[in-house]
Amino acid sequence: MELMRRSWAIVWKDLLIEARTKQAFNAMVFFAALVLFIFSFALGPDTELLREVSGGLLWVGIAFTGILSLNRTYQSEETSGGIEGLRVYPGDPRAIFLGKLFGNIIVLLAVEAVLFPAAAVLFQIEMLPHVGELAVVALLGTIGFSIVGTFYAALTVNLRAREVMLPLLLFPALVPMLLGAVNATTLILVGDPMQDSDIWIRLLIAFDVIFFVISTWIFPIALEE
Amino acid sequence: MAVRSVYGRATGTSPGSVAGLREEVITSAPTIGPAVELQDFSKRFGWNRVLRGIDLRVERGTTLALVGPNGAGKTTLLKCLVTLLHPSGGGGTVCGYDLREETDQIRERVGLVTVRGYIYDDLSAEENLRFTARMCGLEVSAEGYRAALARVGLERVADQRVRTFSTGMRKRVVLAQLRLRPLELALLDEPYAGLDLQGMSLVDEFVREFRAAGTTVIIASHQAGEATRSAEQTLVLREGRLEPMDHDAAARSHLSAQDIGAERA
Repeated sequence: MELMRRSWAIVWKDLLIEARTKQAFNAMVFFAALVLFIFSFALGPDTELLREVSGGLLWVGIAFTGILSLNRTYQSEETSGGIEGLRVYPGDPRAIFLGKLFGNIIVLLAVEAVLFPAAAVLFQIEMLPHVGELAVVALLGTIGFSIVGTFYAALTVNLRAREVMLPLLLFPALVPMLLGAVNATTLILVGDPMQDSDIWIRLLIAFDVIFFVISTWIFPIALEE
Repeated sequence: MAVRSVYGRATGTSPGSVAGLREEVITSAPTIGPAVELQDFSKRFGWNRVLRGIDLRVERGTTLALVGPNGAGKTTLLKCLVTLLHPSGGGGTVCGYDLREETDQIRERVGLVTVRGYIYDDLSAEENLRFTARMCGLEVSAEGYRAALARVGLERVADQRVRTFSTGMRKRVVLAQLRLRPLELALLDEPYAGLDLQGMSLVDEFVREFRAAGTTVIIASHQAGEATRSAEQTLVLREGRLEPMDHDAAARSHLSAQDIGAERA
């Protein structure tokens, strides 16, 4: 209970600051739109091809955009003395991880709420009939991405080359999640009469659960000096 | 961990009263032992030995001035005392709890004010206090926050973002933050830096209030005259080693610790 209260205090603080500065959100939306535009121009007007690769394009966009958010996860603490400003408070340090995790999930989902309709227009794909299934995949993928990302962002926060190190460490670890999210999204968009996307959704659930348990367990060690 | 704030309504005292603080500290305090006890304490970063073989004993309820030139290791020592940094050698206790093993108990009882303070530029003064209270599990009423800010003369700018504040005003927010919860040990790192005379008097007043409430205070500063003014005991930290110092002479002195270091050398 106390853990959750402290986690939400961090979420409240981060979202309040983000709502005022809009630094991360604006940058992420513009970057994501740019990525989709570039893919759209590169692949041309072949709507069949665009529909077949739309799952991959969407998740590449989300992954690249998410890096921007993750890089800011702990850097936003720098004006207040860095991450030690949070460590100085008593209580379970996992509250810091959970607070930052929830914050990242909320911001990334907000960006996806813009990204998915934008992709539907650009790639000329019908998403509305599949909105429920897509929402499930987006939620599970975003949770998985944010769990691993929030953990690695804490590991790299004090490194000089953190902007480079974070994606280098993160993307290999995200392979199962990206595989699941891309395949599930593509199957949903191109038509999935055999319900094959269920297997990939199960993979996403397993990924989220395993990485959540591991990350939450070892976060206090990663946070130490 | 549900702690009633110094400014909580349920303490039965007026907001910001010293009596309220004393009541809280006494009820939460361990019973015996010094506030700080270090034996052969050392800290190194890679090959750089910042603290070397420090033996220190600070009795409860006393005020210690820790003076020394820039880079002497004052901030490192304070961060070790609040368990943000772990010792490389030796050990000790803070408020009766082991520095290596009982970090959470120590953080509950110790407050640290750094030069810049742990405050957020894009939150208002009151929101910063609110965040501190939530992170510490404190129950503070809306009036309590206002009283805390009024105590440091910031009630009129309570809703303004800290980004717009001067250095002195920021320091006042940090002091209000520190005063929000009951403490057994208050660590003040360069508390006089960037403050005008009024601000310095406010720090002195806070130190007196802490002492009256039975809180132990350690003031680390390179300004020997200011730091020793409120203290009963003075120690010099130079090149990672602690040396005793004539407290009365230091209190009378307007020399900076940099000068003291140069004189001794």
